[in-house]
Amino acid sequence: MHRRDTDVTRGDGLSGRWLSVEDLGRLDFFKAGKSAAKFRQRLNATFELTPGDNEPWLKAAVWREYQPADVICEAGTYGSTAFLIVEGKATAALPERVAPRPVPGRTPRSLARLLRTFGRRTHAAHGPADVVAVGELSAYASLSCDRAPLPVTLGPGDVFGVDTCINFYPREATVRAEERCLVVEMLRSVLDTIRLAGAAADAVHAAYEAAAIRNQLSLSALFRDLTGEQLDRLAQRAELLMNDSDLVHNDVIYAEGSRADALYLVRSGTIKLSQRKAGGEVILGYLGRGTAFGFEGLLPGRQSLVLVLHSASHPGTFPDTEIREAITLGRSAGCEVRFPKEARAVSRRHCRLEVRGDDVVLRDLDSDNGTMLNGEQIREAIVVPGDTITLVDYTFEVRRVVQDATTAPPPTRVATATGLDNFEVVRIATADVRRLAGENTRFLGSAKAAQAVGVAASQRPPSAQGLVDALVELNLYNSQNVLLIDLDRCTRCDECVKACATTHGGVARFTRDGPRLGHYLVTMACRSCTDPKCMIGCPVGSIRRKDSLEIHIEDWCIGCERCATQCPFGNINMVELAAAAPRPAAPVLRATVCDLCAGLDGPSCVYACPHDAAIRVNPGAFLSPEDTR
Amino acid sequence: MRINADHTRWAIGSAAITAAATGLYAYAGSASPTAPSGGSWLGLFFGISGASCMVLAGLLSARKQVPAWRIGSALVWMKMHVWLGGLAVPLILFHSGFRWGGALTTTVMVLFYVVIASGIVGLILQQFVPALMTARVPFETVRSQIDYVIDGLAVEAYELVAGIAGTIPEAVEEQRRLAAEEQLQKERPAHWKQIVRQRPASEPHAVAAELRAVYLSEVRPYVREGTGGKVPDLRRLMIEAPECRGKLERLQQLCEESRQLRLQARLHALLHHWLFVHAPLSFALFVLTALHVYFALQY
Repeated sequence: MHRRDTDVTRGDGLSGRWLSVEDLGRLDFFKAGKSAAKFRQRLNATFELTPGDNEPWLKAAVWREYQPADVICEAGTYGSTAFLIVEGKATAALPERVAPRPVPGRTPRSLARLLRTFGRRTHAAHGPADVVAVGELSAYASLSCDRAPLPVTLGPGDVFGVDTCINFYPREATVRAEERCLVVEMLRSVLDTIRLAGAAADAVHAAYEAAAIRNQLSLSALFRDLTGEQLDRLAQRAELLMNDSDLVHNDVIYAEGSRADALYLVRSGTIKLSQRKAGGEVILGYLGRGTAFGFEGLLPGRQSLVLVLHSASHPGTFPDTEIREAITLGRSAGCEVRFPKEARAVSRRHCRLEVRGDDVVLRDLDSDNGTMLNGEQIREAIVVPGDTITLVDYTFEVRRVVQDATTAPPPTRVATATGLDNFEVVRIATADVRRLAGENTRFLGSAKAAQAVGVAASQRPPSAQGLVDALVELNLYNSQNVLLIDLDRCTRCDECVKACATTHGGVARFTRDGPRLGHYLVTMACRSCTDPKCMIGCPVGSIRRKDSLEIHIEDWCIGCERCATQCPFGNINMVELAAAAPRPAAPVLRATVCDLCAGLDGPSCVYACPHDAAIRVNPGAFLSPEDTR
Repeated sequence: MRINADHTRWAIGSAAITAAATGLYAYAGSASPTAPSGGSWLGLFFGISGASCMVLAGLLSARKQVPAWRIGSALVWMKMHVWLGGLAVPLILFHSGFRWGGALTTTVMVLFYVVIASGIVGLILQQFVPALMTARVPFETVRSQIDYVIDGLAVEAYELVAGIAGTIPEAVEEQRRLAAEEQLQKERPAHWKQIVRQRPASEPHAVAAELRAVYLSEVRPYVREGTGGKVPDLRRLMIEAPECRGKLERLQQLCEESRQLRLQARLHALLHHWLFVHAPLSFALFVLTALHVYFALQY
């Protein structure tokens, strides 16, 4: 038996056998004395209940029973619930290949029309493949894994589905019952309470973090060439960073000029890459889920010369010394290559090797017995690999060797990475990546290619900066489907609004008003945000996503106005419905939001516009030069 | 709608049909001593074709009654309305043989030309007025909400002035609306559209008297009705009370916003009032055309 997430929430809240506050508190998962009491206390506060109230509170958690081979949740589907296994075992498996679902209702060629208005977005002939449209899936990441992923076994006490419940992205894994399973399925309101309640919270967070890192690495095409053992090793050493992590300061993940000591994968949210130039900040790009960034110095850009002592009379006396900036040879304590005190024929500061641009120069420092290069005494000369340097009876050979990737110091950042709104990124130390590159040549190739992409991104000339700034100012980077109205074509006939109202029982789901982007009106219609704040905190889970990106508000909405208040754009309206008995004096409120006319052939607003003024676009495509629509 | 490159195929098709019809009419005319009449086979062909174009074009009004029905996008219907309506002109002309005929047919023809002309006027207006409105009315709002928004501007203006000069008893409507807002917020504390309002100044500013006078005589009438003809100038008050500059600048901006909203109303009327001629006359045209067909068949 297969249950789809859309079947879960039917009728008045979650259908099934409800759990009360007391029921949850009695579960082994929460049994830790104080944590159970704290949990009940928090739940009571969340749902404004009187302690001891045993009513199924707002139907936000239910029991579910699954038989062997039943699918509990399926990869690629949307949902709004998390699960806790109480009894039995299940297997979570990442899919081999899942095609990302397109955002519905996009107007064809609308992007081309907007481009003509604002001019070309970039002058670069080839854009960086890894900087993709916000909300789209990176070529280096999600859902394109060629390798059969290893399944994970889940048992009693394991919580899964947290990512979908919190971040509203599609389910990453298919979870199937291995034996008879008793599961608690819960809405976010319950999950949030669990995450704040003591010992249980730690367990949930730890499980979530581990799964998030493991899944993100497994699904990233950048790491597809690693073996399972290498992936596990990497996952254990990686970290999950969020807005309030210690390594993040004021949402800045790393600053321009700081040491490039880690690579990052975007797990959720949007990351802005920017550089400081004369005149202000230049935005290089906005990165969405699945994108990798922070490639500076991932691998050595070129091979380094290493000075190697090659003397038959003094083997092992001098370690191989890398020529980096400058090294001095002599008997003095400050010399990088220090000769023994007994070598009195060698001057205290005998000679010096200096890196000048692309050359390495050998300079004699007025030594007593001179410095020989290939048998000739010199004062200053350029050395090349293969040359022999002789100081009295000490002979050194200049050799070019491949630098040890794990010991090379990281360069500095060429851009600042800042998280916009809520984000999660997986941080992988550069040293770990370099170590794997040394072990796995296929991964080395992928990493080099990715590094080249990252370098190209940082060197891309800024263009259409005004448009990018406008998109950020209007918060459009977070939007996936925006209704724009071309005001130069629109006759203000309101046919779009009438069509919307006709489709939705007389109540229009958007307002033909809002901020402007050039001569386009950014209407107050739901934007299908990648990070929808409206969904946070709904006590009954009535606001959710179903099979695709449009947001729905089900008819069990209790009219608490929380989603309308939290939407930063005012795109959710509260509508008064006729009050039902037995309290006819009290107005009944319901939240309404644009649902992209789900079930119809595209949104009615665009369909009904007689002047070709109403269009729907993905604003994030402006920020990706890969978009050829 | 804007006539642009998207209409190329419609334009080519219409031109081709017009050319073919012209060729046919010219050939028929050259083959007989008199031009084909409306009752001749060719005349009937042109008449039926022209009337069909008119009917199809006229179906746009029916289409607008069911905006959400998936029976072809509104854009296609509008293109059909424009181009078939235009195509009807040569066809009806050829049907009439360039003659007015009797009283009924003359009336039909006059109505026909007026409907076509009003449609062309509307089409021309739609090429330029939307862009004009976009450029001249940055503070544009929904047309049906203009009165409500102006009322809101007046309340905000009162709030700003009262914040400097104290309560102004003459501003009755503004105080009534503020009281209603406060009542709503008490009833619905979680109301998602709460507005935080400033209290009137308990100690009026030194310029309170002058500001109150300017507000009542110039600002308030201008914001509400546009009385006075030009946006009140508050610069002198800004110089006298530099600490109130922010509020006075906002007050000035409110006046400008109300000006723009009234301009929007006028431009909106310009963009739509031609329909008061086009639509009813089109309906009358259909009725008389039906009568013309009836009587033509009878006689």
